[in-house]
Amino acid sequence: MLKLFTQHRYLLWQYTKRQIEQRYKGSLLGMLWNVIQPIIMMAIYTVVFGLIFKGSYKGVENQSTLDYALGIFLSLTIFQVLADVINSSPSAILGQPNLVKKVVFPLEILPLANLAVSFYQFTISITLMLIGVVTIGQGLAWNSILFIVALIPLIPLALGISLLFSSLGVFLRDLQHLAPPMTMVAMYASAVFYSAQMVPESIWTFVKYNPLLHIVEQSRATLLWHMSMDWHWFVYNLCFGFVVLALGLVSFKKLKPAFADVI
Amino acid sequence: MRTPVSTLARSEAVNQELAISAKNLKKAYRIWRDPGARLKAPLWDTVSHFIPKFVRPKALNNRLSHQGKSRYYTDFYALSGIDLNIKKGESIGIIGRNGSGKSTLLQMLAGTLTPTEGEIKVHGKVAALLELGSGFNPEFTGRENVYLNASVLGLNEAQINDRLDAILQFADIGDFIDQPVKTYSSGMNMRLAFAVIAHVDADILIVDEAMAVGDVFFVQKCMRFIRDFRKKGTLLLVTHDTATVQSICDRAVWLHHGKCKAIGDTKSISEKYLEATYAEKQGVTLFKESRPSDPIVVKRAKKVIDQRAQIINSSNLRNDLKVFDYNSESSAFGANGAKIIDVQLLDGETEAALSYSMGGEEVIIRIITKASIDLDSPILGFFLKNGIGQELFGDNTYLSYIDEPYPVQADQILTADFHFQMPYLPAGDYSFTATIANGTQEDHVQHHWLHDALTFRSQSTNVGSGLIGMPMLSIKLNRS
Repeated sequence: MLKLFTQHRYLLWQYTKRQIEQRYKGSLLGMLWNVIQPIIMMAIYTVVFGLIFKGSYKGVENQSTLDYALGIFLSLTIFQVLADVINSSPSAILGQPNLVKKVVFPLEILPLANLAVSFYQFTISITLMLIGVVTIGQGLAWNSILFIVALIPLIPLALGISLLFSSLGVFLRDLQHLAPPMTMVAMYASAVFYSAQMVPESIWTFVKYNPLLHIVEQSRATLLWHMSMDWHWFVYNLCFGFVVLALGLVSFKKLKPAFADVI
Repeated sequence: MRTPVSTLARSEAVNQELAISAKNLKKAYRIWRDPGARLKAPLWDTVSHFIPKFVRPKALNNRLSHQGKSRYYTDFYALSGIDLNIKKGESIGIIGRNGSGKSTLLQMLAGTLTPTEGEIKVHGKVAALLELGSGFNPEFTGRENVYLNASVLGLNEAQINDRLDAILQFADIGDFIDQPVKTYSSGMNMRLAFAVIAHVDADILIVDEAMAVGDVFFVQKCMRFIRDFRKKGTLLLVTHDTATVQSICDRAVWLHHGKCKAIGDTKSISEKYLEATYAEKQGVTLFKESRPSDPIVVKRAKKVIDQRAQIINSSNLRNDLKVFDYNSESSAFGANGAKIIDVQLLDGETEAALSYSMGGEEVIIRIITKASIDLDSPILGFFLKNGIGQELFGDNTYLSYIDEPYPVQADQILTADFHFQMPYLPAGDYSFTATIANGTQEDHVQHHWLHDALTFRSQSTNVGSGLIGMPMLSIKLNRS
């Protein structure tokens, strides 16, 4: 895998760049959509969940509707990385029969490029987020830096899922149709609109094993409310991430030789 | 003294000479009975792992696979046991009918397909042009694809920048280079793909019927490249066209139903392949030897003219053709309803047999056949091949007798004379192939196809370029 990165940096870079360009090619506002889209999403969720449902994250004092909006924005940004990966991976390899059958192409590049694109959008959104926190939120404190640490488990997790789904997707075409409901479940099970404290015990028994929930919860706690993070769950997240990564690597390696037979 | 160490060293030395070695290569495609079977088969296989053999119910056992067969699928062997050793610098042609496994073999050698069994060792960088389209991403422009494709083939960005002009010039598709590849015609696609693989310094070049869609100029360009490439690299070529194989390759591999039917020099393999193709079409038994069972004595023209004596111009560019005797034992095939018993090269005016001929002279090629069954519309024909098997020209009696066929009865002798002006020929060996068939141009039974019935050698020549030289009516310079 590491060898792949060093050897095919150029390819990965080209495919990532190309996908980003393609996404907004021909549109009037172009790259600006990267910024506009998340802002509109945030506005909708804030109005619906913040103003209509009167939602707020529990356990935080002096929380304004703007804070809640920033919280939703941050949570959605993190969730979106995984949602992108789940949705794009099953067809990543399936959609490129030429590269599978006609050349010896490092196929790992394809899901990885998808992943790189979602991290690119993630970076833009997070930058917006930081601007928001400083201008309309509660500002930054030393603990805010911990939020970067809280996000670390997201990397092996997303990488693992992209490898797992892209390789399985070649054989199980149903995965493409399974992906949208999966992301829906993931969104509502990941404490995007609520905080972990608000979850009833009976549901918490199941939902607490969702690593994304803890990643979202911890980054909100550190970046927005300047709290420390729950290291117990951080270690769990990290382990979970690496298990998924290992699964993804094994699955991809085992299934890759048979791609050309099926596509 | 033989020590293990020295044996090892030697086997390495052997390995260094081999570009590709394949052992017992097999490729099975699993044909599933229905889409659900694809899911059920591994499911039952997994279940059976947890149940010891002796307590497995019969119903479960029936659902498991036994030697590549189960109620859910059958294995189809596209290739069943290929052994191949290709030395560095060798050019190999792979011929065979559609579905004989040619492309599967190439794809495995190129590394895009994984063999079901067997092993492949490849030494050196492989560039492959598999079928049409190649590994382009249809959404990207031609230029972007050049970069991506060349990068996959191991060039870095700086190297690609250096070679971009050469690649674009070779592909010669103009402004289309900046359009998405999905807008390309199959010809443009192939041009670009070939241009890329021609510039990546491959050690082994694999080309799969790519030439089929190119126009004549581009095919010539590719051929020039391939001929150059042969000097330094290893070439694998798949084609239906035995003439291409003969003109480019050193050896030929004939695949038939996933098996290697024959490996050998291109000429004999091509002939065998052609023979088998006709056999399959006609469904007749073949004979290898054309030696007649009861020798028929043919009256040969007695006077042998040495045409050289009459040459006033004794320049060393005179196109002397040394004619060898009729060879009745060269390889042949056919349905055996008629036999070619002699082929002669005669002087155009005197009809005297020639032992020497010259380019530009009028000659007659006479084919003498004997029918063993009644033939209602026999066609006699010949063609001239050069030393590497390329067919230069030929003709037959079909059109001349299209309105009134010229039937023969069993045991009659049928002779055809083709009177023409011998073109000038580049130095080398040539041969006439003679044929007798019955039917029409499109639908006929080949009764006797005699390879190399008459051979001759062009010893000196005035031909500067081309496969043959035409006798010129006049050559003039004008100054104004």
